[in-house]
Amino acid sequence: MTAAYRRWIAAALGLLTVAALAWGHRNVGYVRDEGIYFEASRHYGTWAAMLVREPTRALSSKTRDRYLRINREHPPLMKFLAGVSARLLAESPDMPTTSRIRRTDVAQGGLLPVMPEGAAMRLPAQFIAGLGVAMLYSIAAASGGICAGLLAAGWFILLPRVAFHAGLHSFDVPSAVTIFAVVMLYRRTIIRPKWSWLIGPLYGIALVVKHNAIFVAPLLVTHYYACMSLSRLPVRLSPHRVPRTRHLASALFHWAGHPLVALCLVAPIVAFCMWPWLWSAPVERLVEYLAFHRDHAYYNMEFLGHNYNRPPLPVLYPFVMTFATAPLSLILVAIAGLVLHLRRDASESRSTPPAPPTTPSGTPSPSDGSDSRSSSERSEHGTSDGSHRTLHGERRPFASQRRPLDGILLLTFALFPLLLIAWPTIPIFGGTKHWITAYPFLALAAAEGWRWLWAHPCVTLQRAAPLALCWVLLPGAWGIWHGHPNNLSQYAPLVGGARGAAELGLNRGFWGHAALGLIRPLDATTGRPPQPQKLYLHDLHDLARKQYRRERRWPAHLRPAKLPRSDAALLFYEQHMRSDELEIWRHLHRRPSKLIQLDDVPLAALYEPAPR
Amino acid sequence: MVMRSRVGNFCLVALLLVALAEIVAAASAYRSTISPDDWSAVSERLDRGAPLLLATRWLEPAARHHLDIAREDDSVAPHDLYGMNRFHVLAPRGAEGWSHQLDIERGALPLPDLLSRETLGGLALYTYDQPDSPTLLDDLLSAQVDVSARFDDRELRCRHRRNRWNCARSRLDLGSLSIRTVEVNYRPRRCMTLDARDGTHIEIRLPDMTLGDFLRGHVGFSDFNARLRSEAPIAVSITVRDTLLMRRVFSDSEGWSAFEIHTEPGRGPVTIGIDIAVQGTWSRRGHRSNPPLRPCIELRSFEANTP
Repeated sequence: MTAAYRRWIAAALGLLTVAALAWGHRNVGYVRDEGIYFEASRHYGTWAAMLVREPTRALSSKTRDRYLRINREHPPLMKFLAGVSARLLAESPDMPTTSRIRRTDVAQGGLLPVMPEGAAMRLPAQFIAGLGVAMLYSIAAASGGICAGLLAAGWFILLPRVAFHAGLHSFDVPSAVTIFAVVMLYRRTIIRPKWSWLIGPLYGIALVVKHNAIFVAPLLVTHYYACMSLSRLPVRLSPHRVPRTRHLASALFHWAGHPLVALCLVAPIVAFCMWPWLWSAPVERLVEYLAFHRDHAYYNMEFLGHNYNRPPLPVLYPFVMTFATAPLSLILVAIAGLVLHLRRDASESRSTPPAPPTTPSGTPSPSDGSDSRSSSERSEHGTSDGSHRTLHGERRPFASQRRPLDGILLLTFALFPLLLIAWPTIPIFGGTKHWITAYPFLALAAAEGWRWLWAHPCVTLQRAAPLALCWVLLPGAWGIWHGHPNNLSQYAPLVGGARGAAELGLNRGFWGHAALGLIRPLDATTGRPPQPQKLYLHDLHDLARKQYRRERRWPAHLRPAKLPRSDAALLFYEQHMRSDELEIWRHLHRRPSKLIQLDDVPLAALYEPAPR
Repeated sequence: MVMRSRVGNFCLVALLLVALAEIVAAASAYRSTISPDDWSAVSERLDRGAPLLLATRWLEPAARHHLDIAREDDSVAPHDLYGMNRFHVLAPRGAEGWSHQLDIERGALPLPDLLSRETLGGLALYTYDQPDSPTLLDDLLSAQVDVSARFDDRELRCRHRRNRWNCARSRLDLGSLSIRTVEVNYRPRRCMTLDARDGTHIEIRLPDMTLGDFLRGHVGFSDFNARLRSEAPIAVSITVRDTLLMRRVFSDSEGWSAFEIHTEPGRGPVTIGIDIAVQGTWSRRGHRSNPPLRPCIELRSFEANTP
């Protein structure tokens, strides 16, 4: 497989992912946080448009603060992209926003109005998810072939929870993809320093996607020094070998290209430049941002029948939930891949070759060979697809010649997000999305596991690999297909799906997203008397309702109201919502007129006026 | 290579077998098993007057959607299994009817007899008999009661209107009591709910209660959703015929906490005293007066039904 061929397949997979998400998520209701992000994105998009039209005005601190104050507890990139996407692609909304921003600024449709505003705003995150799939395929296929690439891509996007979050206008999957990109680039930087200038800007981008990226730099620095201490770095990257140059610019460029300098100095500058809200009072606002996440509100999360709403969550929580929401076969192959990587790290540590000589300028000397291979790797043969085989025909991971503790690197980034959530003093978050940043690394490890499993001398058996690949990916894909559009509530088959999870006392969903199927029957055009006029929204955020309204998906006659004044009510089932259900009984009655269910498990209910 | 081949082959086969198990499990898990006809069949088999309990909580909304009996107080918010001579338990097909929760609700009663078990499509209906269940004689929630509230040296007689007692007069507002179905430990419980200010002593007096061999009641704290579990406990005392028979402190961590007091059969006054020390709730940001502490209590008298 040539590199070009691989890139074409990667691009096709990425586009297929984007198309599937864009099409499929039209039926996925807007989750609580999206309502806020939609509103924020309108503001950010308006500011971005103003920046083009009236840059002086847009850049004034008063205007910046006015437009970018909203939802400042999260970095801006996804909101900027969503706002710009809406300004390009969104159909004209039905009603203006109720915010303080000038209505004419935010209520207009896009330049090429081809989709609802919410779908347009979701599109950037979907593109980044597609990019993640393409990256995973490309990296894994380079070392393990097509099947390993497909496994890595499928491992990630064919998990029901990942597929659900990948289609939303939120930051979790974009954060996972950008962090993955940073780590992969870091690794490449270690092998080929010519890419090192890119890591600073890329990490800066990751920092303005979501705060999860903050943890990346310390982890990479630790890895870097671990590699150094074990003599696993090419000498030319060592900070002690920076060339003495008389040209300051050249020296700066060299230093900026050093991964640690790029991560710790260049990236924050890039992030700062991309976050105009910080410009007016950088320290104060940065402290405010960090404090928000340090003192984050505790969510409620049901786990094995208990509701947790203050730390600590059980330490096993993220691990059990990963097992409960991802097919076991995929987890096993990922663990196998991690073990293989670690074994290779260990074996290569025992036989570390001497570092290759460098020229005075720090570049590899011609005697390095074109790929500056180490002595132990000179027995390898490069293949036309960019991967490398040993004399025995085994492909080498990551298609590289040096392996700077790949096992440690993958294990760190696959495990750290789960350990962070398991940490006893971490605020209760709970959703699997909070450690979704681990999944691309598990997917990549799985590709290595797959490569090893099929490195079999029997050619006949190898021909069965594509069939086996489908076999292994089928449970996840089936879960997505069946659970759509409620994949936030989908569970792995060995847990028993949604029914088994409900029986075990695992969370059924959150964010009040499963509302679409309940709202449609309330449309006055259905003409079913008595039609409710005032609806209690429960966990559906009013900004999400407004988004439906803007897109003409909310019945025009139906107004939101507090429960005592409502004649209909929505209810989203979570254990801690029980008291809300009882309040609905007190004010209305006990019979839900319509239920949204996944495999008989109720996710949301509509209480309508009692029939006369 | 030979080593890799053996281990690799084993792992490969194991992986494909796990995937096969998942595909088989998916075929079973990823489908609805309960049809509207199943609910109709259940409805036809229910005994009138026998409450319908659910073996698993996730079935409740669908049961209330389909079955009238599932919306009644005895089914939705039972105090426990005392006084239920017969009851149904609905479970998903293949699941046990008897659950740990029912064991808790049973208290000191012997295990009920399983009369029948029917599989109705995706559902299983269990019918239990409790021939030795004690007979309910009187109930705080349906009895005539007088309520008074005391704060410092000021005492108020609370005004009764429908299911609510209002303990406020002119400038002194000591709170209120009401009979409601509230959430206690994530389960609906029908009880007398108190909403009173700090340091208030509430007295609920049943002037002429029919007493049997014992009184049984529960104390719990409602409105879990609005708070973290760190509220002040309350003290509850029960006085029967002017004799103090129980004084106990209840905290929210006890959930729906049961108590029993042996009594002499006959009629007589029963007084429930409740002391609320501190209202409000504690969180990591300290004490807040809102949401308020809402203890709730129920009390019934029973006559033992020994075989």
